[in-house]
Amino acid sequence: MSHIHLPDGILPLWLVIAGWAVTAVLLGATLWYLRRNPEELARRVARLGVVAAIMMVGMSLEVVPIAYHFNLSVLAGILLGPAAGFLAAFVVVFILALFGHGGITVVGLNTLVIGSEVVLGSLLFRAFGRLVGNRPFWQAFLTTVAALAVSTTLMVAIIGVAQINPAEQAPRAVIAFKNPFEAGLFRVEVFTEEPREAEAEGLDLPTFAAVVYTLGAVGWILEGALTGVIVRYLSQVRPDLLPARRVAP
Amino acid sequence: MIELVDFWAIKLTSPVHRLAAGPKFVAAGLILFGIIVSRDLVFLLATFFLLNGVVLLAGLPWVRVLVPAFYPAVLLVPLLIAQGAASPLGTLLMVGKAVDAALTMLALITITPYPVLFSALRRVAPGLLVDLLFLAYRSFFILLGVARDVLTALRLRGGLGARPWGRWLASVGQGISLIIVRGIDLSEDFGRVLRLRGYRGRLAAGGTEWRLGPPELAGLLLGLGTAVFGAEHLLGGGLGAYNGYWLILGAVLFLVPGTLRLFRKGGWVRWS
Amino acid sequence: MGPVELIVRFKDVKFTYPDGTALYFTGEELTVRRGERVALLGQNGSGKTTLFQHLLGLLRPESGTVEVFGLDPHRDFEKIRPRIGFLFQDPDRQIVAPTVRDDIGFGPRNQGLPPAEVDRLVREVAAELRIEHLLDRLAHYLSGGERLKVALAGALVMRPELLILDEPFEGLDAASRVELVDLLNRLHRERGLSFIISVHEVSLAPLFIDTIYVLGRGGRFVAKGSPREIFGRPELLVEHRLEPPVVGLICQRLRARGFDVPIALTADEAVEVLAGLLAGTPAAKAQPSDP
Repeated sequence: MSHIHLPDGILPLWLVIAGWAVTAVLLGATLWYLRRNPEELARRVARLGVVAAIMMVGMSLEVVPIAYHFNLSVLAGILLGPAAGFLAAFVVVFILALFGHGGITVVGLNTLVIGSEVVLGSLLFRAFGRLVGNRPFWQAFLTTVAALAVSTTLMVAIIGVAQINPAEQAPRAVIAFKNPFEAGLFRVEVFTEEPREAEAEGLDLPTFAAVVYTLGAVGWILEGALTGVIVRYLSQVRPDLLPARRVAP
Repeated sequence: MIELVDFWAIKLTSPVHRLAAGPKFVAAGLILFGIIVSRDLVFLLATFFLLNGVVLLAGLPWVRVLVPAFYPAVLLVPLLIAQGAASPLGTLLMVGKAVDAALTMLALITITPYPVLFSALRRVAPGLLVDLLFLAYRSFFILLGVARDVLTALRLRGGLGARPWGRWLASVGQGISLIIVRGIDLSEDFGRVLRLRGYRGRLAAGGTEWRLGPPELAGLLLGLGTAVFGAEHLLGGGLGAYNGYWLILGAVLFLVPGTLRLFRKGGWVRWS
Repeated sequence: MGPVELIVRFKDVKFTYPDGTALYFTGEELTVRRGERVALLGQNGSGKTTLFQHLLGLLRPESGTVEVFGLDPHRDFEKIRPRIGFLFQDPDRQIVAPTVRDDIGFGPRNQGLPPAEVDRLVREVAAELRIEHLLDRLAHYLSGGERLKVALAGALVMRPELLILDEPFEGLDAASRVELVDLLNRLHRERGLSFIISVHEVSLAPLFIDTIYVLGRGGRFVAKGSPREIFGRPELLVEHRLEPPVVGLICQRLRARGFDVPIALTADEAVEVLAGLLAGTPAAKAQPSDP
């Protein structure tokens, strides 16, 4: 996997709200940017909507037997730029959340994670262009790997800040039955778990990070290579789509 | 998956499909609330049964809807590995919440067409954002057709079975590149069309139904009950004594009409 | 009767695409009078779509004259836009809104019309095109013919004065083509609608076209005339990689054999010609120089 969509119900409420708040502010700013030039509105809206659809199509294509899905978020950043790219990230995250892929309540946080890939993709692409020269494959590969590494780190940081500790939540699994015709109470304890307070063990963040980075690195390289192939193709067929040669709006 | 879900939402005409969209959203929201705040595994299990009942009642292919609901559990694997054996039930709680929440959204979206779903968002989100959702969704279906053609061409010409892996990647990459180029062409066409038709920032008129008949009230009550039982520990725990009995019973009862619907067509019906 | 108003003028336009492809629309001046039905015939790459995009104000020429309703469509885009309806080659790319009702009402909503008025216009045009039953359907579940009608409804809902159609018959079966021709004739009759249409199916042109322009490679106008004048010169069409109507070709070859017959444009006319020949009318007798 190149990144994880955080599901519902595992993050504290304050963090979920903070995620939405930051995302809302950024969305407001990017929408303002989109509307800035009314004559360009139609073109930008169309381009953004279709690139978001391209990301969704990419995720729908199961070309790898292990059900790995390509993300194309970094590519979206390269094609759209940071502002429009962030909007596209929100659209995709939201639609995926409707399909249970990622939590609907944590769309804000997931947008920040995917959005970071998009924004970094846009910014780093130019930087790496200066570094590697006219070699679009490597330019895109390095951009993708770097952007995904950062977004993964952001996601790990979110989990770290959340201080997830399932033991503290004192989960209950006690089935209790009350006979409505008698005063007694039949109580069946199916399984129980005592909430541990003093020695409550939270999430082992280093282990979590190690697992994520190990699995993630495989995804980054795959995604990076794919993005490299695509960008090389586009540089030959539609160079106007790539930042260095894009006509300013 | 998106294509299938869209098809189910549009083409099926079960009792739950016919419910007004507004109350459906509210009920789903209430159920989601109950799931997220709950700390009760029994509650989560009962809600799982309840949601499966909705899926069956909707006449949906049960397994095909259920499987994607477990996807969030797969994504939780790193978290679960890091959690270790410290709290098995706590782990189960996380998984249960993730799966139930995903199933709630899947149940909603398979019984509510997307124009209604997105139009409802206009009350809480900027219109331009909703337009982007509409355009992305619409474009997705057009590009899916393109993607199918491209993948078929790749398959027929040996691109998907190419080796070594570098050649495979180049082949797949070119296929996706072609889809992207066609997509950009589509975006340019859409941009022209939007401009020619005087686009000002509102793609669809759409409204959300807020009809409140007996079936809608029943759905809302179900959602409310789920929210209350889920938040039971926040309300002082007074419902604890009835927890297992009513919840399990209610959930099992909900499975009955859904299962009966399957057999109504006569004989065994495939569930996937 | 006074002169009929000229609503389109297109002359000596030059345009170059970013990839270097250049088109220079020389030769005849393309004009469309109010109520006139004009067809563009031309091989692939002759510039038909480019011409339409200039008329719609989407492209600005490097040189030449483009006037629609007396205005520069690129500069006065917002003024002419509501007066023109268009149908692109692929109707699917023209349907932007989720449902048919939403898409047809898209234009009127953008004009700021109240919802009740939008609804009335939508119902009216849906009834006109007999697609009321499709109003609540989603676009991606429509058949090809249905999508074309929906796209056309979206173009007609604002009661345009000029309709531009880019190869609307592509992909339609024979019955749907006839249906579309009948529809266009009805719109012309009832609304006085002017239209410019590009077609490959030359056999349909005589059924609903007043004036034909033939475009050669690179955008050069090589001929202008009525269907009878244009199809009376099948060699011209063949030279520009266009297929002449079969009935006209038959008549032209009969003339080459010395039979003095008119060029038929339709099957009915061809039957009259052949009936005349078979009846042995003096005008149809072979000449001594018959090969």
